[in-house]
Amino acid sequence: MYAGFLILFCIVLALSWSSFQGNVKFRKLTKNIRERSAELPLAADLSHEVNKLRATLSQCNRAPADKYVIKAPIGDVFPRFQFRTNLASVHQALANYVLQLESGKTTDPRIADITLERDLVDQVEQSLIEIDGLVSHNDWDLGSSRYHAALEKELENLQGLANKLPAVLKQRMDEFAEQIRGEYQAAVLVSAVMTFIGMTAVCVLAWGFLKLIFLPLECLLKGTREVAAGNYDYRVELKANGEILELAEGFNAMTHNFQEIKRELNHQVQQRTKQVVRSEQMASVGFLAAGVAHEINNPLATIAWSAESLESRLLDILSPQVERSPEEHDAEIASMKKYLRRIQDEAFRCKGITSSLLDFSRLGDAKKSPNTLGPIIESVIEMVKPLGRYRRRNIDFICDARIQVVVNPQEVKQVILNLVTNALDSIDEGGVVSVNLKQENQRAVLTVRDNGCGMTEEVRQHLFEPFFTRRRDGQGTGLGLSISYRIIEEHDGQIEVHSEGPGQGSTFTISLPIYQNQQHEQAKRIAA
Amino acid sequence: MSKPNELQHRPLKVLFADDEVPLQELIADELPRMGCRVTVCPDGSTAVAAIEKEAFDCLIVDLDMPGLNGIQVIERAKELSPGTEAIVLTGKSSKDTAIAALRLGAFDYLQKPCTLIELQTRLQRVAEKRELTRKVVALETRLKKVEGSREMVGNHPLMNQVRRLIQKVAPSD
Repeated sequence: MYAGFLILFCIVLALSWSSFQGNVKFRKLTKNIRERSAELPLAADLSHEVNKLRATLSQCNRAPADKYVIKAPIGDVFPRFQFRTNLASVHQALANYVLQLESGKTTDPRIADITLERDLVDQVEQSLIEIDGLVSHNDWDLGSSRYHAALEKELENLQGLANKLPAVLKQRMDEFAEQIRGEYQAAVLVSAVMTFIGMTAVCVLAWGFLKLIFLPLECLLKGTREVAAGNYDYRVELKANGEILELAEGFNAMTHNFQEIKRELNHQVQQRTKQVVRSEQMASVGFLAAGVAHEINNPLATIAWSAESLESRLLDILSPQVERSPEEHDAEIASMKKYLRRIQDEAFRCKGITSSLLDFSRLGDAKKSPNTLGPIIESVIEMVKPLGRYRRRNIDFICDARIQVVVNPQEVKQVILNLVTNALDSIDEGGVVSVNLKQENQRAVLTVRDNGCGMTEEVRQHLFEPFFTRRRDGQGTGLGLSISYRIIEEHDGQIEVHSEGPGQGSTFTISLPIYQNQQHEQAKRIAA
Repeated sequence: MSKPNELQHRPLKVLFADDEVPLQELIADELPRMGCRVTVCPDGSTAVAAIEKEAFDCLIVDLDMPGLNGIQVIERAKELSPGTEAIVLTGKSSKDTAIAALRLGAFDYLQKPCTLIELQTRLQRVAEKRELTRKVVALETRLKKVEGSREMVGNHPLMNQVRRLIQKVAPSD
C-alpha cells in the first residue's frame, strides 16, 4: 500500500519535474533563438548594403578621358560620393553585426557556435580592407583602371561573403531545428512512457484500493448489517491485513462478546422463568393440596369410625357377659367384615387422592417428549372433579385419543389445570365446562369452554398479562394465565381466548403442533 | 359400648345429614348401637324435608353439602323447633364456618375425622340436657301446684329490693 503511494508520488514528482524542465528548456530555447534571430536582420542589412555598394560601383565608371581634366560634373562626382557613403554604411552594418554577434548571450552550444560567422566576418573585414585600400587610389572609378577592375572583383567577393552570412545563419538554424525536433520526439516518447507508467500505477493503486480497502469495507458493512438484523452467528472473514484486519477482528470479537452476553442473559431469563413457572406450579400444587386435604378427611373419618366401631364390637363379642343368639352373632360378624372391607376401600380412596396429587406435584426438569394428550388432560380433570368446591359443577370431556404432541407433561398439566379451574371458578353450581380435544390441520386443538361469567373485551386484552387477576374470590397469584401463555409459546403453540361478553361464557383455545412421526405414520396408513 | 340412654326414658331422635355414602352407612349402623334413633339424609334439601315432617332432638350435619348447606339446615330446624340441638360435623378446618354455626345455636362442633366416642359424648350431653330440661319443667309444674301462684308476697322495702334484684339477675343464665 505504502509502496504504491510512494510509486505514485515518485511518478507525479517525475512528471512535474520533467514538465518544469521542459518549460525551462523551452524558455531557454526561445531566448537563444531570439538572440540569434536578432543577428539575421543585421546580416541581411549587411548583405543589402554590400549589394547597394556594388550597384553604386557600377555607376562609378567614368571614361579615362576625364583622367586629366577634373571637370567632373555633378553627375560624376555624385556616384563616387555615393560609393563612399555606401562603403561607410557597409562598415557600419558590419560593425553592427559584429557587435550583435559578439554580444550574443546565447548559451546553447548548439547554436552558440559562431566560429563560422567569425571566419566570414574576418573575410569580410579583410575584403573591406582590400576595398578601402583600392578606393584610396585616385582613379579607382576609372572604368579602365586596374583598380576599378580589382575593386569590381573584390566587391563581387565581398558580396558573395555578405550574402553567405544569412545563409550560414539560416543553415545553422535549420540544423538546430532538426536537432530540436529529435530532442522533442525523444521528450514526447519519454513523456508518453512516463504517462503510461503513471496510468498503470494509478490503475494498480485503484485496484489495490478496491482490493485492500473498499472490498473489506464492503464486507464489514455487510457484517454490521447482518448483525444488526439479528444474525449474531455471523463472522466477518477477511483476507486482509493491517488496520482493516484489526477492525474485522475487533468487530468479530465485539459480536462474539455480544453473543455471549445475550446467551448469558437468555440463560438467566430462562432460569428466572423456570423459577417463576415452578413457583406457580407450587402454588397450584398448594391449591390442590388444600382441596385434597379436605377430601381426605371424609374417608379418614369413615376409617376412624369403622375401626372404633370394630373395636367396640370385638370387645362385645369377646365379653362373656353379653349373651347373643347364633343369628345375632353371625350378623355381627357379617357387619364387622363389612366394616373391614370399608376401611380398605376408604384407605385406597385416600391413596388415589394423594397419588394423583403426587403425580401432579412431581417437580423436576421433565423434558419434552412425545405424549398422548388425552390421558394428560383426563388426569387433570379426574383430580379436579372431586374437589369439594367444584363438586356440583360438570365437566364434559370429549377427546380424540390418537393425538400425540411433543410436550413437557408437567407443564401442560399445569396449563390445563389453570384453564379448567378458571372455567370452573367462573361458573355457578350446575354449570358446565366442556373440554374438547381434536385435530385440525396437523395441529392439536384443545378448547376449554364454559357457560360462566365471560369477560369484557378490555379484560380479554389484558388476560395474559402477569398479575392481572379477575378471580371472584380474590385468590390466586395473577400469574397463572401469563405462565400458561409462556408455556404454550415454548411448545410452539398458541393460546387464545374468545368471549361474547360478560355473562356469555368464554372459550380458551390452545393449539399445539402434532408430533411429526405420527403425521408420517398417518400419511403411510393413508397411502397404504 | 355403654348405652347412653340409661338416663333416658326414650331414645334420642337424631338426623344425620352428609353426602358421604360410607359415613351415612356407618352412622345408620352405629347410632342405633348408642341407643339413638337415626334418620340419614344424603343432602340439605332432604334433611329440611325430614325436619319439616317430624321434630328431632339432635341434628348432626355436614356443613358442605349439595343443595342446602349445613348452616341453612340448622336455621330451618331452629325455626321449626327451637329445642332442637345441632352438632356440626365438617371436613374443613375453617374457623369462620364453625363460629357461624355456633352463633346460630349449634350445640357443638366436630371436625372430621373424629372418634365415635367424641360423637357419643356430645349425644349424651344432648340427652342429659334434654332430660334436665324435662325435669325442670316437671318440677316447675309440681312447684306451681304446691305453691299456687308464683307471685311473691309482701311489699316491705327490703322485699321490693329482693324483687328488683331477682328481676335484674333472672335474665342471665
